[in-house]
Amino acid sequence: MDVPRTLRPLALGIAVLLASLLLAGQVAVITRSLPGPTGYDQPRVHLNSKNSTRFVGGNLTDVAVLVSRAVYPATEVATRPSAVILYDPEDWQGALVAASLLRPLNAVLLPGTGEPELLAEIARLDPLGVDALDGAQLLLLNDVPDPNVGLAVRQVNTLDIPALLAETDVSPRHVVLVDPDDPATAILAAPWATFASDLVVFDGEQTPAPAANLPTYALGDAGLSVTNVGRIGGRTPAHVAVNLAQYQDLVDPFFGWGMNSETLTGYRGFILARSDVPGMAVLSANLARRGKPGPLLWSEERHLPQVVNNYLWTQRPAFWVTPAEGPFHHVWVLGGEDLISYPAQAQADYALEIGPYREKGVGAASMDMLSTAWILFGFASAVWIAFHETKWLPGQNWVMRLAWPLLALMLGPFGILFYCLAYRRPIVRRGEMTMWDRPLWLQGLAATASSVGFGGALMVLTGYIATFFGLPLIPGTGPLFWLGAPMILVMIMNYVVAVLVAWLVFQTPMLSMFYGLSYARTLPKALPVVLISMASVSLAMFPGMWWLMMWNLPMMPDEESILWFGVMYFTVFMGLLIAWPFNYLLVRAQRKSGMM
Amino acid sequence: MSRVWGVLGAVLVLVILWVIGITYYEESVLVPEAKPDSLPFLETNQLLITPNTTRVGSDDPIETAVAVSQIIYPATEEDNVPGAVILVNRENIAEVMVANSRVQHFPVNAPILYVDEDSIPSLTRNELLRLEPAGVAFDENTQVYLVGTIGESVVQEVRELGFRTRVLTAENPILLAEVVDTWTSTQHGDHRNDVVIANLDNLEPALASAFWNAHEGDALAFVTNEGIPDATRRILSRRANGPWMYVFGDDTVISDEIVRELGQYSLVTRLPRGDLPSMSAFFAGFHDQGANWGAWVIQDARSFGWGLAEAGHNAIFVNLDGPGGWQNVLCATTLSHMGKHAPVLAVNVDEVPDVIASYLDLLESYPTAAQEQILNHGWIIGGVDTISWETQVALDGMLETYPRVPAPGEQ
Repeated sequence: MDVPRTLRPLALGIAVLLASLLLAGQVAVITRSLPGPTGYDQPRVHLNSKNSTRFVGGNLTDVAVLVSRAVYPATEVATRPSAVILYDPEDWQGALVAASLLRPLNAVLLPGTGEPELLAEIARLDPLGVDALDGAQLLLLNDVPDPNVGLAVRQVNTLDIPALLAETDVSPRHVVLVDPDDPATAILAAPWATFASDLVVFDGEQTPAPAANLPTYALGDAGLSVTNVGRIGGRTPAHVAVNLAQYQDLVDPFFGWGMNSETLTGYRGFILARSDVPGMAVLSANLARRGKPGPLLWSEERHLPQVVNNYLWTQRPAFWVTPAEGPFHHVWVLGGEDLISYPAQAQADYALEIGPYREKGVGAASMDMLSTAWILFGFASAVWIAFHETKWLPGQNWVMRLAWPLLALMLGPFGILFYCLAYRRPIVRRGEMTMWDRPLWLQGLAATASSVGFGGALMVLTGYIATFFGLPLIPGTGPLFWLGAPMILVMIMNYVVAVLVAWLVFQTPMLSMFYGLSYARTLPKALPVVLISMASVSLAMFPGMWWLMMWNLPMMPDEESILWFGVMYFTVFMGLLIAWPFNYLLVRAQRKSGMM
Repeated sequence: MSRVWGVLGAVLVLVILWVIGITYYEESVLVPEAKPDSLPFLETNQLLITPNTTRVGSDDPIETAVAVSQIIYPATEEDNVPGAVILVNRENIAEVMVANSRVQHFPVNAPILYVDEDSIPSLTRNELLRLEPAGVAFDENTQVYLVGTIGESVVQEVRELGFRTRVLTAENPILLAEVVDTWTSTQHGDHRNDVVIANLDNLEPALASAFWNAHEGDALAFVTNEGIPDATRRILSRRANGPWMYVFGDDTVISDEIVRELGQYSLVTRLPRGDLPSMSAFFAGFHDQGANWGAWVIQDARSFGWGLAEAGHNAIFVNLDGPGGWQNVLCATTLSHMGKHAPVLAVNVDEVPDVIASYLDLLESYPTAAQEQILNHGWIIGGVDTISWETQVALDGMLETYPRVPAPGEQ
């Protein structure tokens, strides 16, 4: 019965260390992923990424020219536009209404800045002319000055556009009502107007005759007094943008981008721009002409607005069999790094990277959610058990008092269940010792709880530290080559550490009380017991780790992921279930105590 | 009761201390002190854009390798940093193929950058410093893999920058394939049963396989005009099942005798094309499945090849005959590994070969509902002397989803 005096504080210290390191690992998962983007001043050879392309320019003309060249490369007749529509850079309203013309007229929308680069671009495009408009090649919107580039010109007033549209084969199906004084919500209509050739009408103006009876959708706070409209609103312009991107009219299949959580099989194009540069944002209309059309979303300079980032994450594509299957999304970025930083662009790029269905995104997928719930359950159970046993079980053995909270930490919802099963039993006093009168199967559970509580925690922690510092790898050939595998080596380390610490600090003191022998004389008798019970835990834990990490999860999680803890804790639970019958046998053979 | 509070308080204090320690270690120990210098901005990568294609890199393969690395790894937050970086000798095509085929894939997750045998080009060095690779947890937190014939001075320089390295090298590419196979098979505790067979004396058709292996992590072994080397025999015989061999080349590339001899080991499938354009088109649509291994109630099927033959996929367009040669081809395999996960298709500088055009016919897309669009994308690797702007535009048209409304005066 004489356990060295230093052992009890040592054991408590080790238990505290175990719990704190495991919890710190989980907290670090959050603190390591919370910091916002960095790398604002990294050197780059370009500003594109695997899921995004940027139109970089120092000014509006530069950006417009690049967009125009992309949509209309003009290397041959088939890639030339029929017309160029020039708008006054201040007159984003005119450009927005003209967006409806881009598809039927095969046209491109450019700002009439009069700069040489713009004139060169118009010359390069060499528009073919629109027959329906008497061969006009250049449409001048409202009061934009004529650049005099020798093309057939036609003056167009915003109010003429519905009539112009009526002259083409395409007729609009809907009206989008927008606020002429709020570019941040109004311009969101631009890509849709191009994609669907729907009409944009300003709040307060009369709907033109050809469109008078069309279904109407209002953006933001436009036309609050008008009844019978579909409203797409939101707290901020960024919210309106996201709501428009998701909007799907279930009755009318012809309105709405419908890019929401119900339609995740579709491929997406998104356009990022700045709402405070309306003359540039309206260029988004050109990008909906062909290629990868999609809704306009607003960005800030340093990072994406939270609502936009969250939305993009909901759109993250998932693969079922192989990542080559798609869907694949793409983001267009309008403007230079002074408007939208590369790290903001990279946020969108990362959110939209294709990932395995169950693991798409760190911390965002079903498997991560399950892991988090399991861990939170475990944490709450451990704290509750720590208080409960101190208050209500004064006679409980001190080793068991340490074991139960540690065990509960890893067992998710099952810790409290096992704890209640073990202690809602009549008490038996034997001398100074308090024991619980349990049937043999429950004695097996209590004995398992002590070995898994310490052994499991020690194994998970050893695994954590080894993974943090990098798992060893010893390349080899021959039939035993797999012994050099990082997963195998860490399992061996887990087992050795767990056996050594549990044997010296936890199991021997407890068994010495049970056997009534001194610590020193218990040591040799305890070793085989510890070896067997740890081996039985490992019997389920290690194959479980291998199966989950190497086979089942396409992206092997490491210690930076909450899924890693989820996998570890779940395999500890499996270990407990397998070790239970072994401990039952040990208890029956009087080698282990199941009544403490 | 106050003791419980005391213990919980101690746990809390320790948790805070540990988290600070973990953060410090990550930011200070694993991150090199040196910072990258500026890099030359590749203007054409921002100028030559179309809705369905992105131009990556230039006619200089060192620049292209950096451009590919930057396309895939923005390195702006914890999760878009690579696990490691692979440095290869830019003079040795077979070594680069081994590195692409066997090192890039998960759990390593690394871009390929070129070095010379005895020096690191400044672009490569700056990109390495920009990336600050996280370290591969499943291999001693290795941050830089030096694969093939790389001089001691380069290894030293990388180590002096503060990176953890692993050197994978051998006397010749055949042995290198074995060394790397041993390392990666140990890492996985398993030998990949699908094995690409390439002729060391005529690697051209097999270049297409490097993109697949970067994507999927299958195995690679070399034969020569003379036959099957011993190292390759050892690689094949280590497979617990299979090996399922995929011979890249027709009988002018790898003889029927060699195929017959390979058949002693297990199933041999020939991909009978002799050059990169026709092989790349053939392989992009190729898929083979069937037995891998089974035992009692467990079964696992093999699955080799892209098998992409419908709309909604992507392609990496390269030109083997450009100024950068094969170097401007093999540095692009990272684009198969992440992002749009695309197979390679080889074109000429001014022309899309017929075999490629007819393969792209299979990918032809069509408008559907806005929320269920099906879109294609193409990567254009190299500068305009590798693939011209006109060729890029032609490819853009073949990948397009929204057919153009015919303009007046147009045929």
